Amino acid sequence: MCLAVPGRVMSIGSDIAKVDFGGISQEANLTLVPEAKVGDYVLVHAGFAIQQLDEAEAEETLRLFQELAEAADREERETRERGRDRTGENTRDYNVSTGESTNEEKGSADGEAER
Amino acid sequence: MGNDDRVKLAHGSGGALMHELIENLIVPRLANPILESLDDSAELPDLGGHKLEGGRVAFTTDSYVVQPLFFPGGDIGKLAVAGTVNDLSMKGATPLYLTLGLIIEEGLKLSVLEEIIDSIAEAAEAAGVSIAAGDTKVVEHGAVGGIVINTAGIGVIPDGVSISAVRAQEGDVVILSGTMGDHETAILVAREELRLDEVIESDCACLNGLVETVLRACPDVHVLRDPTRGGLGTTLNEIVSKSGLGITIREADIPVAGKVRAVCSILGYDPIYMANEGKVIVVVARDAADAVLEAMRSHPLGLEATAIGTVGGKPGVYLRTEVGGLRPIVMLEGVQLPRIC
Amino acid sequence: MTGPVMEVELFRSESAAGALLRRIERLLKRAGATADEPVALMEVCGTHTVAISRFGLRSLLPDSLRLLSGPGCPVCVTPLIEIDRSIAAAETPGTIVATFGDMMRVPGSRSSLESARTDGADIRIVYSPMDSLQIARGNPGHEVVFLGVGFETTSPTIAATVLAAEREGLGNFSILPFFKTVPAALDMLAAIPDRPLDGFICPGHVSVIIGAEAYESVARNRNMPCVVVGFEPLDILSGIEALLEQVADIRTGEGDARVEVRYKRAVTSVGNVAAQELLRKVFEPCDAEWRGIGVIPGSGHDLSERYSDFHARERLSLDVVKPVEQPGCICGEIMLGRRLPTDCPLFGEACTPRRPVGPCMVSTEGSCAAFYKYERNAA
Repeated sequence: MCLAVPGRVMSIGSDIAKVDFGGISQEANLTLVPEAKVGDYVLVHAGFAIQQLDEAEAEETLRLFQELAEAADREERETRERGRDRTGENTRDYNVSTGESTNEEKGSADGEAER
Repeated sequence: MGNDDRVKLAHGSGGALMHELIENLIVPRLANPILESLDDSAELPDLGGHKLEGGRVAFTTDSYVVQPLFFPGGDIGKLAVAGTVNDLSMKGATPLYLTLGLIIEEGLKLSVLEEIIDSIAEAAEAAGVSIAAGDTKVVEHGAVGGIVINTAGIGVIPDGVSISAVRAQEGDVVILSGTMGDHETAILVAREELRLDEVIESDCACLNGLVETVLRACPDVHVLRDPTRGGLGTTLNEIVSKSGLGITIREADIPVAGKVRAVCSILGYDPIYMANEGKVIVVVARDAADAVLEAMRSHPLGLEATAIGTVGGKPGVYLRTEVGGLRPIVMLEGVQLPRIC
Repeated sequence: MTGPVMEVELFRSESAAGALLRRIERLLKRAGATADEPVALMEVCGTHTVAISRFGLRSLLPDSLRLLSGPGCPVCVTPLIEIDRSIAAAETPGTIVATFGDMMRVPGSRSSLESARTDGADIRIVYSPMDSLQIARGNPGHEVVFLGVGFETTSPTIAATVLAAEREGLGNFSILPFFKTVPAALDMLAAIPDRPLDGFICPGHVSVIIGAEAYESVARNRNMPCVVVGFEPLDILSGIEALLEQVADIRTGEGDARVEVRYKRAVTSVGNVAAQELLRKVFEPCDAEWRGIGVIPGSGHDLSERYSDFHARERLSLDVVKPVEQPGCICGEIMLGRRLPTDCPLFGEACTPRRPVGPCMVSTEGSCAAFYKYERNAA
């Protein structure tokens, strides 16, 4: 419905700000976020900043994801250690698991699964 | 159908609409086996009965209509040389001679024309090709946006080299020479309509040197393609449509410059469909992949060469996304338009 | 230097996705879902539809979960007659139509804006509605009509543009409004008898403006789980997880539906108050026709009395004949969550992105177009 991109306010002149989107800067209108300050992160849609983003909430969300990932990695390591007799784990393989993905493969974090 | 029956800008986008136009309207009327191969350049079996010793002739043509005429990293002149040199290179040919057709709009400053011709001369010298013949026409103001250029090129494919989309084989490795989307992004930004306060350089470059390096490392390269209009997504589809095979690539391995990624996210574009003018896709047998990668990385235009996927699996092109999902990559219908949704 | 809000790759971690997927599987089991009787969640927003396809999330999710695409693509739900009207505006001599790129290829009953441009109409794609003011300034002898398409995310930017035009006294700028609003549409969907839906993946960027509390009545009165979700893959998976927790609770009698936000870095419960004020100032609620669905009371925004001078119909004659939708198309059913694009006899045959028949195929984020582009060969 609505594509909006996060960026960082670099400078403000009247109601127009210069916003950096990871190395690219573009002007964005600040009418809808009158309280935005230089250094704030904003969400930009159709040339307008529509929201100030909450960094602390972003960090909290990421921390939760990180915890999930770590727990999952631990689980996977344990599984792998149990079945270590398989060879070839450290060789670089060009394979990407391909279009013939099966249900078993779904959700696998191992992109190098043989077809 | 009414209006649907006219040529639209989207017919020139390199996507599915253009393929339909070429394959349904143009090729059948000109039918011959050389044209029907629809590779980047044609391989001529002989020249009216005369054979070339030690190789075959490669022949191609391309027209250049870029706006603006000058952009960071290149200009229409450099592009006109590089594009045709690259079309020859994609057959493994050594490019030798180009023709130069100029269609100039009245009112174009002579100093601008001078600059373009100088750029052509410089690019031709660097690529080791000569401009062997030319033509100049002048048209009314407003007809072509300053200037359009056509170049045709001729080169020699050495014996032992046979490169074609149909040679892709199950198990082959797909290698990409560098970052995706630089040229189209550079042009978008240079047009200033987006008012992006930034300079992005086009990757516009002659690839014959890099291709030579690849062929030295592995003469038996199966496929070479430059992902120009329509980008990687469209070009890979062209490869599989001829071989009937599948290709799966991995998103995390596709190099995209940070700034290009940022522009794409602002506009809702996918870098996988963005045009390049100095990149090559190399498809080689698995046991040659390491040598080819190493050779490419030793060349200034291949420093970021990466294996991005393999040939095999069910027909079509698939992308293993960063997050681990699988998605089919289809040919774009027309050009990408900036979207808010 | 960038902060976590801009590091999108952090929201695309494969291992975190794997962990979320395992939780999703467990919750589906707890909810008693099977491939034959799946839990059905609707992503209301077309940008979610695109993200789900773009990241290949369907290929990762179990068969016991079905994701349905709702009516959240503003271009798709714009009635045929409004497209015809936009083309009529573009074909009026002395007029320049300014539009978001999204609208260009949408077919009206005879033509599209793209075809009209091929025939010589002056149609300009803009990235921001403010760009259309620039066009109006540069072409004082022309009427510049901006196509006002969008939900609550977009309409405030257009409200601000109308105010700027008023301040500047730009007499040659007007808009053709087809704005839609989300809560009334969700309530209609949730009220369908024997509804096929178990929860809403609520639109993240609409919610930025209207706030999560806008869904309270749907959650409470219709017992419909509502979770506000962001657009990165982990955001989406985490949103699905939150919805499934509610669904499992409801099915096991352990809880009721509620509103939850899983996009807290952007969405608050009250929303963007400044934007809401602008909306109230420039627009007023109206009944709106949603293509494929019909009229939903109170689900649109029209220019308010005070700004009605900016309505393009005040400047141009835009009478067009009411067109007839093609028979056979099941887009309405698809947007209500009753059917999938692949259930439609026209899908991929008579109806393709190049020659779309129904609204869900016309825009890149329409559910049929997304299915066609990303999932046609994936099944």
